[in-house]
Amino acid sequence: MKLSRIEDVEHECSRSGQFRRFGPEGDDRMRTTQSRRLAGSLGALVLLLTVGCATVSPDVERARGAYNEAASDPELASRAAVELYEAQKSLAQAENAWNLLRDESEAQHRSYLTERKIEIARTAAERKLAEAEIARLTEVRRDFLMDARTREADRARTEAQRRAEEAQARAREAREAQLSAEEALREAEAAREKARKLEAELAEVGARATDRGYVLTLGDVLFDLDKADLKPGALRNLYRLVTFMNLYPDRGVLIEGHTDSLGEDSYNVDLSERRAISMQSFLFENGIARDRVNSKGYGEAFPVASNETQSGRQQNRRVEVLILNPGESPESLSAAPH
Amino acid sequence: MRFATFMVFAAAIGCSSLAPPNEQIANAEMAIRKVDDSQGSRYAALDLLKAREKLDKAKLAMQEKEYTDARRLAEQAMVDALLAEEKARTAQSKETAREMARTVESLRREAERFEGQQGLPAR
Repeated sequence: MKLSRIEDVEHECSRSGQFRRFGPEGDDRMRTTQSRRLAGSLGALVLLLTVGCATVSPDVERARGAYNEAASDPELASRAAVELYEAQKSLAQAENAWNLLRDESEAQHRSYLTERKIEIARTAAERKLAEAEIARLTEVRRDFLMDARTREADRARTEAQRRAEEAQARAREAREAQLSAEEALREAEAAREKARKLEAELAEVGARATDRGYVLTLGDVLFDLDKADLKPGALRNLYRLVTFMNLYPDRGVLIEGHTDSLGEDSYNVDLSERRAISMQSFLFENGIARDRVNSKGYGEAFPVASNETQSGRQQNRRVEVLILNPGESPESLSAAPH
Repeated sequence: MRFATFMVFAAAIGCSSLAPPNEQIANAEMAIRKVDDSQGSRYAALDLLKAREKLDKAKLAMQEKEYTDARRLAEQAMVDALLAEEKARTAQSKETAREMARTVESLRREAERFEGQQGLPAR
């Protein structure tokens, strides 16, 4: 309503402007008295219209210029639409005060209000820009803080996990150390027990420790004179040997036959061999594996006592059973190292 | 038609000069007090001073029964106070935005340092 009124006034003004522009040319063309009179009245009309309508208020013009500049800034127009609308209303009042009322003071006053309102709009636009920036930075800050919290949590979790693993490892090590100590104790105990048992069993068999190992010496009581057959009464000792060999399946034996110096040397070797083989056969018959036993006859070559006396010769007539350590092969140890 | 509009408008302004502008003066006083309360004088001291001076003059004009002058001065005091308020709010918002930018920048540096330690590419 108000706007249409302003447009009406401006329309009037532009028409009067045309009058004013054509005025002087009309003066030049019409030089008759009549036309002079007509020109005079026309001139009066032009003057009236020019003063009444075409003069402008510098205050209102400045306010309108300021408003148009602000309104043509799309950034400002969108951020401070309400403030700008207030300025627009104020400008319309300034224009009405001038165009309709010719109230210069009021127009000046309204123009002042308009310019201040435009300044308010500009400032508000700046504020809204800053507020948008604050909102954006708040988001960014929240993201960073969240990231930082996540990082902190991750770090704490990793640290806790590492500590737990360390503790577990320490506990495991301690347990293993304890177990291995116990195991070592048990093993040492078992080894001692085994050694005690072996010695007891060897003693049971009748073996004695020598620098070659355990040696079981069977006297001539096993055999009749010049015979290689085992006497039934000797078998008890040999069964013990079988039992021992069954208990220690990783040990082999070396059977060595010896005689005294009476008789032919070759005969004695033969006899000692036969006696050793006789014992070997006994072991085989009682289930001892063949690769665990070897036999050899040495005849009179390795006496253990003097052959001059009866008791000495009796000691020399013997069969020695060398009990091998685990892993030693009877085949490789056939030479009697007396 | 145009004449009628003119008359209405003239009457509106004409009447306003006849009655004492108590409402405009009260509004200006309220606006100035509002800026005072919100520490606006720190950011828009000159505009606030102008507003106060105009309000004082408006009150003087009221005593002289110069109601038109009083109204205009009160209205100008009001708009000056509103501008002072807007300037103060804007200055505070800008300060907050700068503060936020500094905070975010330090957080960003911290994050980059962390990612550097981790051997990850910085964002």
